[in-house]
Amino acid sequence: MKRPVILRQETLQPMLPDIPPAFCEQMRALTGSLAQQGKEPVMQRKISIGLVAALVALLITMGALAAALLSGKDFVEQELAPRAAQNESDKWTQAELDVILSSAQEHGIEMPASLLEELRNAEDGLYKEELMRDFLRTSLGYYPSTWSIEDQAWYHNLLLSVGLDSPMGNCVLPAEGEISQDEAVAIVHAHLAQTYGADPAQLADPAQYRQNMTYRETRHSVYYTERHWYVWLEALDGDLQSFELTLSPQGEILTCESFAPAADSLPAYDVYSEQYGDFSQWTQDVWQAMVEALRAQNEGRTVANINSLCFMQSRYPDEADWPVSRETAWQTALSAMADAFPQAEDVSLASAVLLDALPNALWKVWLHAQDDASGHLAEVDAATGELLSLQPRVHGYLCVPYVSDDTLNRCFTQSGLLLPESEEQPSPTEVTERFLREHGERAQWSEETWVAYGAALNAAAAVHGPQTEELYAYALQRYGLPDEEALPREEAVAAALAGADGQAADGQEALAVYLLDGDTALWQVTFPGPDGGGTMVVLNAHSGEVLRTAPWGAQDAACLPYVLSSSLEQARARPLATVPPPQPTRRPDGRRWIWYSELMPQETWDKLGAVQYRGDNIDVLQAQWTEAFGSDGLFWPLEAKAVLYYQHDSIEPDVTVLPGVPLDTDVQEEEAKAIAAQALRETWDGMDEDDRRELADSLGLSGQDAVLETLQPSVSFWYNTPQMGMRIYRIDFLCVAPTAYGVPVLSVWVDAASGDTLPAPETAPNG
Amino acid sequence: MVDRQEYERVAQELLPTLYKIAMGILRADADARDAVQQALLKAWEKRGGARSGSFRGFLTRIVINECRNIQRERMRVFPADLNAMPAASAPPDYQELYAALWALPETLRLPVLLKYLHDYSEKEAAQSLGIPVTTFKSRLHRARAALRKALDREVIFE
Repeated sequence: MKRPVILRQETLQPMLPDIPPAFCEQMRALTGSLAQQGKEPVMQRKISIGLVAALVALLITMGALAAALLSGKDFVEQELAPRAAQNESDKWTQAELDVILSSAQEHGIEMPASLLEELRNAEDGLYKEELMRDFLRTSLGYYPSTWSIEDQAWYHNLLLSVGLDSPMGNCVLPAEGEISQDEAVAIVHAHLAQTYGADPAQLADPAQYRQNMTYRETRHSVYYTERHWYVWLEALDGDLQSFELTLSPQGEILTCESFAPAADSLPAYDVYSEQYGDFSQWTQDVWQAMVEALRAQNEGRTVANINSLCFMQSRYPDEADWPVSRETAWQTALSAMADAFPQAEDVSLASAVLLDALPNALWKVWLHAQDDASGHLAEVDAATGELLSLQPRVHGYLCVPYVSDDTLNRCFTQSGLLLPESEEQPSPTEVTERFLREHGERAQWSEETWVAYGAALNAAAAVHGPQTEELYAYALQRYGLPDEEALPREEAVAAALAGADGQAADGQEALAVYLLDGDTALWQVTFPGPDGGGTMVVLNAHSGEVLRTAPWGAQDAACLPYVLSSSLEQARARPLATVPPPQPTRRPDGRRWIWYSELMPQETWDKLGAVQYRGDNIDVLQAQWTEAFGSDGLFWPLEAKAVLYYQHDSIEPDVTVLPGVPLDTDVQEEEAKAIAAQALRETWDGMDEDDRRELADSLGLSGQDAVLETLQPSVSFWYNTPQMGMRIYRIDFLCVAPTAYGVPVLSVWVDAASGDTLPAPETAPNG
Repeated sequence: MVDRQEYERVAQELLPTLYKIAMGILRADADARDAVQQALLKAWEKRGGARSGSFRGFLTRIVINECRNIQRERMRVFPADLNAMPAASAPPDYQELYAALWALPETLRLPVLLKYLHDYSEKEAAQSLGIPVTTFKSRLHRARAALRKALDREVIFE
């Protein structure tokens, strides 16, 4: 009798690798930083249980909307779409827009001021799709997701028919046997009433909820196309929850999430943007009105939304009150861009807004350059015309080009939020340079600046590692804001001077930093000496007790006045994350280094080369494979899988297993699939009834007979060099039934030379 | 409601486990790191919806969902990249067991690992997977049967 296997923790521990220490440290720093900066979360408010769904009211509302929808839509269909199809450009020129404007006026299309402005002042042209959507908004509503699914599908297909990319997703209409939009709404309302006690009458009330709804089709593979409803009930009242759901074509609730009410749901800037268009088009009086409305809306509330916070702390004076005009500010910014970034092409003005600031109002100018979607932001003094700053736009929050840098930094600090990572996270060194550039030397930094620096540094270190010992010390150090009971800075300096006991001369410009050491708040005050270095005094920030006094020599770490010595020791004790080795360079043809290596035969590389991968066109190839075979790469051809593998830089130089395609003398793919199918059949035939039933159950299938029908082969081909140049097919039989799509059921390995089935090779290379 | 201290404490205690859970699903170090990092950020944002004392299961569920997102978003060209999993030092006696575990469907393997490797209670593990406790127990039972068959010997869960 065989010895039983005992499954316990000790048995299983070696099965999975341990977390890499450097990564673990980065994540500790990240969570610690989040916890240090964050505010307590907002409690979800309960909603009292309401009445049964008022669908009639909803349908009447939808009908009323439908009655008014025709003119803008007709204009798009009959005028704009044919014009868009006349050439392959995705933009209209100003000359073409002039014609469109005339045509719209002739057809009596009502256009808001923002749309007129767009049409009249488009020196760089306008994207065709965006303009069509702006015209549709005039009659269908601002958000495409609030349009009927018929209109969404119509627009999606219209765009494709004229050769434009559609941002709508693959919108479709329900087929026979699938629920209608009305049915989906009824199901959603009933579910939310039952699950959250939501009031269906409220959910159906367009004054309280914005109903965003789409029906989309996704083709995963040649075997499986999926459709689902996506519903977002967006609360317009600050006391209501929002909900997001997905439903199957038959009305089954697939996912459902609720979101706590935001104190400033439907902020005024959303309302104003519906009326006045994009922020970049707003005039000063519109900004003034919006901010007043936003403040009124949020009176008495705790505001968490960073955009609302920033707007509410901004003021937008009249242009006439300041000598520097918008045009002058724009030219100043443009000149600065040309000086700083001479390679930037086609720099254009995205927006310019006048902001109240001290000592003078400033113009915030947002510039775009070709191929630089984020752009740059400049601040220009509205009294003197002096350029105050010019920097790349890093943060994605929509308020950024319309509030000052000071307001932005202050609001982030107050809200306890981390500055969001840009897609390309700056390194700790870059973060430090930016802070020094924007805030001056560290000795001048405020407590808020230190807090923001610590957070930004930790976010950067989480991606890049701390880079140097001193930056590591800064990242480890926790900075805080003095609470009401802490000694003010001046008192702390005075107490430190007294506590230095003559070791520091009065009158020197003391450096004072507010630090956190566990639960204890400290002031660390440094009195600089005549020859560099100085005397450091650490005080309990609440009691004023002098905890320690230490000299700081010129030869000591420059960071010491700004971090506790324990933080520096900690930084020194832990090894910095290893710098990854330099990435292999590309071949002259743009492909990665591994192409045409000796690990695979020339014949194989030649076959892969026929795919026309050039190193920079993988997106094009992926789009082609998706269109031909669906989005699920598991069912793509062998050469597609291999080429995708070889476009990564992360392939180790000592790799021992490589994907490829069979040689002409090998068993070909179709034969390998047939061999594997035979193995599958034999395995199935060898299973007893219980096992077959269990498998069917685990796949969510109604009977055993359905199992084999739902299994389709995903084939890959491998060169497995540790096994003496063996070439093998791996055929994974995956379930393609919707109930268990993609679940692997059986894997078969086939020797490409002999056609023999093989036992599973070891999946982990040795060492 | 999970406050900052609980978030920090639980997240940091659970880091090694979260990484192993992600590796158990994604089998690739880079993907597992992505899943863990994204999950920690999401868990921070959503902690208002978590109950104090249940944050472990809540955070684990987010990690598992992130793994699923990564599986869906990235091109799953190969069900398991043969080169992706760093060599874990498997004692020879366990290699057969590990092979049998890896051969299990994920719906059965994950419950086994959550309970017996990561020492989750049945309630926590069920919460992490988003399934009822009864379903979780049923999957453990099926996993045991599958392992017994694969290994041709009795499998004792301790």
